[in-house]
Amino acid sequence: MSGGDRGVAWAFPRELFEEKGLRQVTVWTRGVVLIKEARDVVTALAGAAAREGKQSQAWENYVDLPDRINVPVKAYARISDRPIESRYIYENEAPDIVVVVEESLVKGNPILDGLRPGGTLVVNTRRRPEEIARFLTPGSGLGLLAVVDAAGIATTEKTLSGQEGASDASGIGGGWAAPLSGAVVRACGLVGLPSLEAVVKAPEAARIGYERTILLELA
Amino acid sequence: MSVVNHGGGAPAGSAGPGGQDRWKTPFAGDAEAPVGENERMITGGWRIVRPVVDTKACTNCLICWIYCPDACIVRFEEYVDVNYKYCKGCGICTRVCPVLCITDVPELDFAD
Repeated sequence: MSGGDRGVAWAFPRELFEEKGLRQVTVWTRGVVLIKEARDVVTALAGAAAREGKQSQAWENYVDLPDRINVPVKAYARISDRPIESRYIYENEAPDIVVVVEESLVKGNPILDGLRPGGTLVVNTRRRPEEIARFLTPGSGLGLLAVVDAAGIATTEKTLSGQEGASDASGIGGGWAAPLSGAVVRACGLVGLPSLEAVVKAPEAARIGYERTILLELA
Repeated sequence: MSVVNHGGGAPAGSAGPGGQDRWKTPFAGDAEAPVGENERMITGGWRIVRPVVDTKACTNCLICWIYCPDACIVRFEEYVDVNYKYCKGCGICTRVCPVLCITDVPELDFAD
């Protein structure tokens, strides 16, 4: 669809999300107890990208809110070198990078739905990547699996601060989010590690997460 | 449906003021509760840990069955088990079991 067909000045890209240079991050987490970590991952990545002069967005899935304890919920980020045109599409339908904040979400949830071919999956787990790969849907086009023991590097931050768009008094990336974002940087170089360290509350945890990430090439 | 008289006073079936129907007041404790499963709200995917019952150690005391907030404890003749289709893994049964026969096991330790 393009706006030109309707005789208006603006235009959507012909295929949604086919924008050149746009990369989408979907973060899966569990409601209430771990939602702060997902929100921090997308906020930290988007903030780090903004520091590098890129265009970025970070938000939570409105459909999943208000969340309930342990319910699978999502948070999203979009990062691009150019102005983001699909900015009013509220869900990432074709993510390039999927982050799983809690390992058991890989079971029974459509985490790889719509994944771009050769996409990346980052899981917070103490297990080997081969063990996680057993639970993934075959033929999903997953190119790289990265695991990091974020729970062993940091402790979770449980707060309602920053919930549903309120200002966050607890800071960004003080818990699992820092090592998880570090793992995303290591797996796909979405942003630079120095800019990530500059935006998170625990830069050391982000660096340790970056260093301890285990990568497994698939397909 | 058979209804037991809890009203005291005149026994059920006796002809009192207002006739026999007067004693047929339903009482929730005697009424069979409907048993069903909601296919559109399967909550097993909310689970991080899975409660596993050691059926040999279970004494069938039914304390977990009383405490389970989602009626996921299934009763058998000599032990109980868990309905994993709906169990959210809240861990209450594990805490209340007096003989410690329920264990919380990480969900990814199971292939299914």
